[in-house]
Amino acid sequence: MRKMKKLLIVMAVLGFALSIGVLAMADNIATQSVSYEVTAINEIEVSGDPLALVVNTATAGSEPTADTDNTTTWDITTNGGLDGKKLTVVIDSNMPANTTLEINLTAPTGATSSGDVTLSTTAADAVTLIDSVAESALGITYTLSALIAAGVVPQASKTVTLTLTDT
Amino acid sequence: MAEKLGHPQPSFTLMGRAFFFLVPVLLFLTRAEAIDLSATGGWSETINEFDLVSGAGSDLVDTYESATDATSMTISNCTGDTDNWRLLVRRINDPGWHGDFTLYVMRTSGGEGTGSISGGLSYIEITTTDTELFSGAGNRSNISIQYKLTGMSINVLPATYTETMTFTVDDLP
Repeated sequence: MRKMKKLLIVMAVLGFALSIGVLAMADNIATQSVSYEVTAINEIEVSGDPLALVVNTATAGSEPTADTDNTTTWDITTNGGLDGKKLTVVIDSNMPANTTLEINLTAPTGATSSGDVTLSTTAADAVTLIDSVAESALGITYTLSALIAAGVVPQASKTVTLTLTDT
Repeated sequence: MAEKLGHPQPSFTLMGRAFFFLVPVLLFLTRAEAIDLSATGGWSETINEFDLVSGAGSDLVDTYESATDATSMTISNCTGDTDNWRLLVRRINDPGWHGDFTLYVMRTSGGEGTGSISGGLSYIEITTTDTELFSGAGNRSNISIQYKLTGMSINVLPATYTETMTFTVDDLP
């Protein structure tokens, strides 16, 4: 009789547990996932080529007067995060002796401009500490200067490359 | 009497036995009559430079929509065409989700079946609490669901963001 009671209890407990288990598997619920991948976005663009820079005047007693151009702009979109990016500048070949070509880029919000940067075949930082940003029509100023010692320099052109890179 | 005095036994009366046996049976029967819900599909999207509004200098497009049939749902096991139900939706607030995003969902088709379906034909925001998307009665299959996401911008760091939505069919009395 005692064994029978124990068996009944065990069966009842098992039955209860099984029913709870079935309830736990209730399928009146369904799940779905939404997944988004945002890739690294680093886009820069310039508005065009600057006008020709010509050094052809001087104040008597001084070095020739530098020529400047600020007719172009640059655009940037990056999602690189806080201070995640910097912009470097480089030209394809060095300037003739005693001449200097400089670039000055207006920094987007939150970033820092290096001011006038002398262009050479070695990349130099022009804008640093760039946050995630999307801004356009940021100023570009080129300055060409030449010393008397440069003499007469034939017309030439340089390719300036702006590169957005990790800080 | 001797047994009670010498070996105390747990009280297991006829009522107790009935309780222990009947409750599981009743629970099982209740379960067996519940409306079932199944869903297939989902939505995944890649955002890259081609999603900029107008190239460099512009931000990312704010809003994205899935295909109109991103998810297909089937409601079954109703007791008949007058067995009323409602469909609830919520999201689990996955830690891998971005706080700038807002998710919306809508029904784009009523599916097939002898039952009926109504509501849900315009977007509702999916929050972390159950919200009714649509309701109906009886079995319906292949109900199409579309999603929309807003809040995308250049301030969202490169990564994969995932959110899980839970749909629940609620059997109405």
